[in-house]
Amino acid sequence: MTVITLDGTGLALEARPGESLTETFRRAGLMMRDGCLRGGCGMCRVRVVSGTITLSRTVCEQALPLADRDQGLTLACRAVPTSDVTVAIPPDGKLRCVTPLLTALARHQSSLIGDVMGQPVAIRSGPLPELVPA
Amino acid sequence: MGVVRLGYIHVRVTDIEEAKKHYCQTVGFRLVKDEGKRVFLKGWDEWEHHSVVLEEGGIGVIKLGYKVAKADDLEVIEAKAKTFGVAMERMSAGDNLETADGLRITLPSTHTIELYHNMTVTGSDVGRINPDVFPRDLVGIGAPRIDHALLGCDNVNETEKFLIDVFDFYQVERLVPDLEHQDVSLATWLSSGNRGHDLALIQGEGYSGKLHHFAFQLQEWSDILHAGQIMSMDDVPIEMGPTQHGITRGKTIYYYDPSGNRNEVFADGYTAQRDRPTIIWTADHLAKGINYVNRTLAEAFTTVLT
Ligand code: FES
Ligand SMILES: [Fe+2]
Repeated sequence: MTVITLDGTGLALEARPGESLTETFRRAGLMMRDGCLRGGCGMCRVRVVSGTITLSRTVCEQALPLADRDQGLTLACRAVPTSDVTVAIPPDGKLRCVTPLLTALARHQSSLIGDVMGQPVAIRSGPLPELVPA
Repeated sequence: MGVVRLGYIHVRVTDIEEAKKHYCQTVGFRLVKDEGKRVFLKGWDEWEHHSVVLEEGGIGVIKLGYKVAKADDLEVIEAKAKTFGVAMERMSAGDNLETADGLRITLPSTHTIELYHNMTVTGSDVGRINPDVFPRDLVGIGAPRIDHALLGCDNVNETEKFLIDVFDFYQVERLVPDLEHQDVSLATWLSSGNRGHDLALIQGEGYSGKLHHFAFQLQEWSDILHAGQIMSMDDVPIEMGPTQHGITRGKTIYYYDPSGNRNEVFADGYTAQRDRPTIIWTADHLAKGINYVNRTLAEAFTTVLT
């Protein structure tokens, strides 16, 4: 099982084989800023804090310059984890919960991880930091 | 008679095999020539050799070909373009596959436009004699032909003046900042015949040389829904629609090809006329002009060009 931990949110999601980060997020009722979903616009940039990913398709230089890749930046719509990863979504990435039902389900499915992550929290729509109990 | 229509568009794709699959299986264009890293395609109702060229390496537009009615038009356009001092050269027959000689012009917006008067006629899929209304073996969306392109531009006024003065396009619709500045184009829709637009421009810093989208022509609203159904089956990311534009009144879906180039399926719209007074849209009504029904725009729509 591959686990995606969302840096600073208290959320950890189980990734299905071959799934892009964006696909996992959406399956968990989460949305972030994006555009083409094809690795062409560069709007879905995230930082890989730890672990490894692979790009599922060729991504052109204008969407993700090589220098940025060296800095650990990637495109969520084309990045597929190849190990457990911790991913940081920058503030302008606007990660938010849009379907609390799915987010709750994703948390339940990863209840093993939930133990590690701490106490259960109420899932409601809105910016993700709200999900983390004070 | 001058420019007749958009004849071909040559774009970059990151992965030629995936692009081929998308444009042939989903859009339903036919492969007419495969050179490996470069392929030539056409729609079922197009009679010339090809209309879409895909080339591997990056994304965005390489050039657009506009057809002129006769060889003499090239000289007329060449003479007019000289007064603008743009870069220009004659193309020889064969510079483009199955295409006669022509004129290559760099627009003030830095896009490369090729004017040609002759491309080998290979015929449409329904033929010329007592044709059926569509071929029985349509694939996916089954788009009959390409329609228009919207290009990015740092200064729309400058490039639209060129296109109107040199190519004899006329302005069908225009986006302006407000009613006090109706001579400032933030975007423009230009036609050479009776389509709502053959070429459109949208303004933005650093947009020159870039592609906003190019469109495939469908016939009617029900075809647009059908296209959306096929896109869903094939996991094509949709940016907007099915909906209707206020501008041109066309029915539409914006979506992305596998490399992230924006495409559109476009149907219907009103018949443009050269003497019809230009329609004006003020910037505060942009969302309604683009997306008449929902009146919202995705963030990417005005910020992402390839
Ligand atoms: S959404 Fe365009 S690159 Fe990911
Ligand atoms: Fe369009």
